[in-house]
Amino acid sequence: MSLSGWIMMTLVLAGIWGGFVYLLYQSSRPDQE
Amino acid sequence: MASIGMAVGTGNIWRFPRVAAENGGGAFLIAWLVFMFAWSIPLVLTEFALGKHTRKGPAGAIGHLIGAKHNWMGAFVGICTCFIMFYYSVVTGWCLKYFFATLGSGLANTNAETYWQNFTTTSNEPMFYHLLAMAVGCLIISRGVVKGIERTNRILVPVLFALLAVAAVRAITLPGAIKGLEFLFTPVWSELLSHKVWLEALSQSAWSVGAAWGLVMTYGVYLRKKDDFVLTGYTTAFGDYSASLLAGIAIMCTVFAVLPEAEARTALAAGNEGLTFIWLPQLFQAIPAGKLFLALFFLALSFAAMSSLIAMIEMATRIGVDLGISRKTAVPLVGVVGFVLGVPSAWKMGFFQNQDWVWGLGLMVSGFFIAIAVIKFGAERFRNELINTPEERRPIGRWYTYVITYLVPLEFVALMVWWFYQAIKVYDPEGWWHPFHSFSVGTAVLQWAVLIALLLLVNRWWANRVGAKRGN
Repeated sequence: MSLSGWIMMTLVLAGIWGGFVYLLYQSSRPDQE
Repeated sequence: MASIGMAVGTGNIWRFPRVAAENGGGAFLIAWLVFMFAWSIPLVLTEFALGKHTRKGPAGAIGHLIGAKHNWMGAFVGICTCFIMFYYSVVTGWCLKYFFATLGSGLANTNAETYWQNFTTTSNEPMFYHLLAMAVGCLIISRGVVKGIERTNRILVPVLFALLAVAAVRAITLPGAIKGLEFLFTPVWSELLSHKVWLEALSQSAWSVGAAWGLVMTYGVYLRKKDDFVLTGYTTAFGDYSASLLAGIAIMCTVFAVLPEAEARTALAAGNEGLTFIWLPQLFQAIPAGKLFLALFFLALSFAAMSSLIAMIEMATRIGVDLGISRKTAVPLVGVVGFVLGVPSAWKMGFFQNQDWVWGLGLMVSGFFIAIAVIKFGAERFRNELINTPEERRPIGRWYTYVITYLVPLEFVALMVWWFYQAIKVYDPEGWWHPFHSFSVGTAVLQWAVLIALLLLVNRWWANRVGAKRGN
């Protein structure tokens, strides 16, 4: 795979999967009233 | 969890990998990411706000927001998704059938194409599995929102993600799998200039995340006043995209590891059903422990389909409840009507394809109607009063207003022109106007027009039943 393919794969997977895990973590935090 | 279950459906698994690979790989992914923010998230948040604020499903929410005489637009959103439910139950049945087939020797000892043809054309099995899917869905919904939907999704969604992750890891460790990753991720930059890539990315994002289906609006009805939903909206979209990427890796790596490039392209061009039910069973048989992974794949597909189907059944039930029918009566009623009106799709593949074409595209009309309702109410006012409420911990920025006011209507027009151009030039050049051809402009326009005419005819009665706001 070309360098641009590796870069794209890293960015997309880190962005989407990382974003999803971060959002799940935020959702699981209790409300801070 | 329920929202993610609603969003992740068969489209993530059987459509995304194919469309991404055929439209410039990494370039498609850029366009797909853009539409997450330029269509899906704004519409999902709008639906949450509408449901929470009006306490009505799609068939009453728009009338409540902008006045009784516009109630038919919301009814269109709800009925359009009901039409999808009728044939989606058939699709769920196919997934269940193939999962059960992988447990026995049914798939192993026969030609996959013959098996598929026999199953769909010469047996009554699609009817039986359609009935099974609808019955299981209604049983879950009859247990209520918390006991039925929430508890089911609490199991289905994590297991679905785990199955997809296992399939992706297995596929990526196959010799030659890198070729699949190359097709999925290497950006063909010139493709970014192609309108086809952008429009395919828009339709994939819209159908996949579940924006404008009315399903999120229905779940919004059950939010408590103190619940915020912007974070849930983002999590739904990112969860849906994550599942698509897992499925993309699993399928692309398997296809390219087993087949030479030319054949792999043929498999990807075989369409959703062709790729999933004809090619994949053959491909999995060619890899070590393939039978086990094929069973896991169809189990994941069945879970994805069922978690989306129950959201559709709940929405249809909500329409009944909003019209004054008790929930106890509405659930079996939806089950019976859903089964009966799904029978033609289970019986004839041509009918199924026609309904998929007409109502899949109808979702774009639904998105347009929702945007029109917000624009009429005042998009900035909608953002300030219905989304950024005092209890909302993560208010949404002004970009929402611009996207709903300008981009969504523009995207709707571009997508409709593009799909109709495709229908006239590619799908059915001779009979594009014909109302009884499967993929014609005529059939889509006729069916929408009949539905809109009927809804306009009963609008006053319907608006009264759901207690829509008078005036305006």
